[in-house]
Amino acid sequence: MAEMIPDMPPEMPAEAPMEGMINQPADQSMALQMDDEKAGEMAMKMVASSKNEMYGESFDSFMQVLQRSDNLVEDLAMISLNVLSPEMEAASTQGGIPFDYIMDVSAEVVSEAYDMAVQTGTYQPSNELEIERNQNITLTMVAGELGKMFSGNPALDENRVSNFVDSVMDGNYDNAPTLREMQPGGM
Amino acid sequence: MNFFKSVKKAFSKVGKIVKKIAPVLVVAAAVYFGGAYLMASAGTVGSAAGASVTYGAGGVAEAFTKSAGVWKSFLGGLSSGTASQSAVAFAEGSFKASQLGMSLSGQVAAGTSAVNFLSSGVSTSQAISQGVSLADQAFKNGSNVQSSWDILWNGLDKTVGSSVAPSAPASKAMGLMGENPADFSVNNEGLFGPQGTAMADATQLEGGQAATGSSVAGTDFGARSDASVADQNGGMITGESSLLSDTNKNLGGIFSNNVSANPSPVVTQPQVPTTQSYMLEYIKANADAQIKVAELHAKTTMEEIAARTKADNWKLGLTASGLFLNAFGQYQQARSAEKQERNRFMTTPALEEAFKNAYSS
Repeated sequence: MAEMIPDMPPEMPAEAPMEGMINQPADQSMALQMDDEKAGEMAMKMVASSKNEMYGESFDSFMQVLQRSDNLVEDLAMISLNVLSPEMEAASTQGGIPFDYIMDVSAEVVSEAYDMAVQTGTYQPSNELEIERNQNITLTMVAGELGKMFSGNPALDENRVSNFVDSVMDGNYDNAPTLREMQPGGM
Repeated sequence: MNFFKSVKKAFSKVGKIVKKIAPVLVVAAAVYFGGAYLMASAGTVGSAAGASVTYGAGGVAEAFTKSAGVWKSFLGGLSSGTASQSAVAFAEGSFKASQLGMSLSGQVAAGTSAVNFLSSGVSTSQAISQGVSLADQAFKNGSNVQSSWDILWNGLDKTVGSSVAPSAPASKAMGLMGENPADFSVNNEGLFGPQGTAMADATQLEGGQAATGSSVAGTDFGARSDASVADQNGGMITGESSLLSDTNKNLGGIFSNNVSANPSPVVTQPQVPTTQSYMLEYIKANADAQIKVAELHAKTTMEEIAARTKADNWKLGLTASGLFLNAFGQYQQARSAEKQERNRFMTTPALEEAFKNAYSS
């Protein structure tokens, strides 16, 4: 009986595969190796496809949501997420999610959702400032949800996220023009 | 990686009515993305950055990282608010700071401290104004960005430190978030969390006028749970407040009127008020008060049930939406793959050759 038990396989060298993993710099994970041009193209594709979806197949259901909306700011966030989520999934199977452009894509989609609401008359903002504030709130809600959504995604390295946050907070992005400077007649 | 790069100009002008979101605000939102990401991943994976974070006495600990400060602030805010509430606080804080002409780091500071102030139990609008004010002062007084942040954290320590600074270890707080989703809406309930307060706040900023305008100002959340927040935000649910105050007034009236001037027939048998008559009077008045309180309680309970039903409906809707997204994602993937296949076919050399031949002949 004992003779029938096959020999145990030779012990695998445990260090070899691990070494590669550990030595790999955080910024070189598969998803982050996308070259900039490819990521940009993917982002554009996502935005175009989102707009297509918004004004295409989902238009009627989105209109129903907006017409019955108790809270337009949140409902537009949900619409944006509804459009973005499948795009993210699709992108993940086609070369990876362009994380570098993720907020820009989100901003475009949120802005488009507001445009849709305004153009269809489901939202009538009283002034430009109001719509700007609401867009900003919606975008932040979308950002929060996406952040949570990707928290379990190994492709997005935690250190790089915190480095980005640190970098902004350290003032490395402070040379971006402020809202006041961007307004006509601003400094 | 920076989560924000200006996507090429391809879709910058498509005849939009709505102005695009300003880049500074997109970057600020990207920081919020990072904060939410770190907060959520720290809850499940464990965060080296988060583990050593303290707003310890005397200022910022050596191991303190700014990004950890961001998610820690969200955590602090979320302990008393909701995901939506903290998003509103952050967005409005950063927006107001940008209007004041503050730099991007200052905007992020304003948004972060606004979220932080939520944990001190103030309303969202108060948290925003206090957060912006503190950040403004810190960035005016600081000689550079680093010192401004130090001033800000110290200020937060002094003002909301007791509630924001982790009284329990960070890991424990994280554990709570992961283990008991009923307490926190962040992890499991997504954007819409407990609907009552969050939704109310999103539209009721400054009385529901400035932020959302007339089209949504008439939002009727009808939930008793809104009352405390709404009251703080400018008395949106005035009916609730007046009901409570009227009831209190009546309760007071029962005691004073009955005792002094208008005793009921049962109680007024002794002509001269005695201790016993006062006792009887008190018992009767107390019974009336108890009935009133019971009625009020029943009403409140009914409203809470209605609010919960509404919340449950939302959750059901979201679950359905999640399932739909899942299915739709697969459909979308297939469709994208098909499109790519078609595109590849279109650029096949054989096809190009065929075109060339067709045009040359």
